[in-house]
Amino acid sequence: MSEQPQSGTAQWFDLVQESIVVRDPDGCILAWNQTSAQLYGHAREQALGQNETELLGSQYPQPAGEIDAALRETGTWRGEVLRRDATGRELYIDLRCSLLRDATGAPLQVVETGRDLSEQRHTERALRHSEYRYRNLFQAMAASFWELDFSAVGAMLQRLRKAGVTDLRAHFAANPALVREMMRATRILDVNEETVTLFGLGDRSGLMDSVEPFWAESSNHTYAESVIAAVTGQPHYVSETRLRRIDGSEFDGLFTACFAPEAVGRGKLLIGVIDISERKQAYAELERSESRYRNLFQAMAVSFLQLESSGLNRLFEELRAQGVTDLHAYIDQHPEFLKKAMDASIVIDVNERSLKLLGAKDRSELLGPVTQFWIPGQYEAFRGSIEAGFRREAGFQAETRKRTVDGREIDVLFFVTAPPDMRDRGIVLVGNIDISEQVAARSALRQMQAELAHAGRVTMLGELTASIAHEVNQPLAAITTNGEAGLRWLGRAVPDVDEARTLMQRIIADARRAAEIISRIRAMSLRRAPEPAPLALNALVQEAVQFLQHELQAQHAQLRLRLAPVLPVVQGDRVQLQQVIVNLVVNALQAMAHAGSPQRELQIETRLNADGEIELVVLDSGPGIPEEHQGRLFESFFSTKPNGMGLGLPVCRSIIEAHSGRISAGNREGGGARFAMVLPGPDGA
Amino acid sequence: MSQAAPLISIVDDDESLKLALVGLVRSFGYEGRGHASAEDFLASGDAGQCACLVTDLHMPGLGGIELLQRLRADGNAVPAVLITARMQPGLEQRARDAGARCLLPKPFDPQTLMHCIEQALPPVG
Repeated sequence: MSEQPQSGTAQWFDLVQESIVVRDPDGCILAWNQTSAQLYGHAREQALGQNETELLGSQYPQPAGEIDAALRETGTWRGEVLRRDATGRELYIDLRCSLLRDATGAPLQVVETGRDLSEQRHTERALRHSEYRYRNLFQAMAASFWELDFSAVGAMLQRLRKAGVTDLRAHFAANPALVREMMRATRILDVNEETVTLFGLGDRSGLMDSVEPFWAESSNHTYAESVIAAVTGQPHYVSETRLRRIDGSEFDGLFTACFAPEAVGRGKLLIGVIDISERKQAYAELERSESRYRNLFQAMAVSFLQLESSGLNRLFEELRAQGVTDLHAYIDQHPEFLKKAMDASIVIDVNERSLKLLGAKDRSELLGPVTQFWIPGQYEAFRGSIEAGFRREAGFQAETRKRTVDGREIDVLFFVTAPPDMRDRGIVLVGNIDISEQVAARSALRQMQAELAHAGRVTMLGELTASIAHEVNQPLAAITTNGEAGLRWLGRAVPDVDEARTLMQRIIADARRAAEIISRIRAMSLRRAPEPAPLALNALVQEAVQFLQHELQAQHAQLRLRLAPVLPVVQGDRVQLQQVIVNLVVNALQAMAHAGSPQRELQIETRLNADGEIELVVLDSGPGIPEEHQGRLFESFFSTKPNGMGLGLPVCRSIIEAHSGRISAGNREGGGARFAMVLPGPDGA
Repeated sequence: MSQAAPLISIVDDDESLKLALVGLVRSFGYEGRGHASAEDFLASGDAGQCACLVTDLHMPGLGGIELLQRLRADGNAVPAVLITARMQPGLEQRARDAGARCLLPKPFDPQTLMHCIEQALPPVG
């Protein structure tokens, strides 16, 4: 298969200082000269018969198909190919390919000659890299840099020397016009951004000509000295000097010229200028803090508005001049002052976040009096803020509702920052944090509380139907019984009116009793059908606790949850079971509050008991349950509380029983009550 | 009516219903005596004398069925009528097992109750 060139040609083949590889049209290497072996690190025996692309990991500048097509069409192809030698080193190869055809014109072999460009390419890359670094440095330095061409100055100096000038320093001092001329001959090649900032008018215009305009008249000697330093072979020259900006203003700068031999040889010079004026220092400091502030102002995820409040300050001064010391009282008397104060508080700047929060498409929509953001009739927060300002307080904050420029109303935490010295200068910073979500969450919680309370009422009614049956049926049974007996006494041969009267009185009393029971359950709604679903008891506890957070805090009760880390799901009605938990906790809280327990500790535990049932226990640190009450706690209308309905625990019992569970009450060892509810486990235990 | 009227014992923790039931049996010509609890009834000694017992099922302390079970255990076979404000499945069976003649849900028809009582009384000679 492989055919090395014939013996006659073998010698020159290996002597050629270029890599020569012969391959078939499919890439199989047929010949490999000595230079190739040296270049790629693969001996001839290793290379022959291999696929060239695979062996060398070739990366072509264009798809292989295109290269083949070019070869077939024109017979040659040339391009730079990235290859790897046997050690993995990257090689840049200038590759030239020629196609040999057989007698029929079909492709037979491809002869490739390759020249190694690697060193050249690596150098170029390193150069590019360092140049890039230098450019970055050049631009980023906090000093003004100038790249100058002073070759024309060099020519002028030669002319001076020819004219017999030996004491350049004296000659320059005597000929300021010559110095200015040398300045004009010093051309600017490039400047960095800092130069634009320090000398320019916002862009490079006027900065790409000569250096002459930037030298103050009083600084001729400095320029002259720098030229002398250059021609006398000094490596650099540093001096403080007076420089001039494009707008004509002058400043003190630290001037540094570097005379790198290779640059000087090409007539090029790099100089640096640092502004050392105090004004500049102070300005830079200010700018830094200003930019820090601007960054903060813009970046904060809070809407900020900067107000110009000089007008408001004037209103305050007028009031103080009138002897007003209590702005609150004054506004009570003059409510129209609020509107005046708003109109005098002018938005002069806003950050990005404000656009979004306040519904503006453009900054300009938000500028102007703050009046547009306040909803008539909801001025309390604004009023609070100016009253705080009048009292020279540095900050104020309040939750309020504001109006956006696109007509929405939003809930915000509104805060005002104006340290007295800022306020005196008429600067007030206003922040708005969108709390619509929090407000919505709060109102959802209130809604949930209302719903749960309602659910509680309707669930109670389920128990009530049984309670009504029990409680109302007692007097009803008595009434019919008394009525029947009355009829008997009156139906006798000699009617016994006295007996009948006694019975009639009892009937009336029993009817009243029935009516009282009915009135106790008035205003309660209808029963909701239970909706059983798989529930995580622990999650129910967490929700109930969240629901009761306010109650717990109000009662200063410490809550400890000891929930089983793993608990099977229970089948039940979420609202009803939650009602039971809430009821038990509220009962415990009320019992502790009623007894005035100093230490109010509440513990909720869940566990899987030994019988595979799911148990929830509520323990409190209250007085416990008196023995005489223990058997009756779950009876309807039994209550130990002054205002209690006596419905909570019976409701709990009926709910738990409807869930095929049990509920019990007792006292814990060491004091406090213990309520336990037990629900069937997953296997119906 | 030379013989003393048969004694009907009424046990109910609801005061007004207890009074009404005593009044009812009296209006039918029986002797009626009320007790506020099963314990009171047992302590009164009436258990050995009454011709019929009317008792509520749900009471604090001993309930109606427990009372009957106690009496039967003591060899007392006095006929009994149970009344209840809360009917539950299986309750009738438990009442029958305990030896009750009737189980009446409240509110009951007083005539039905009297019928039950009269059925339970031993025939008058």
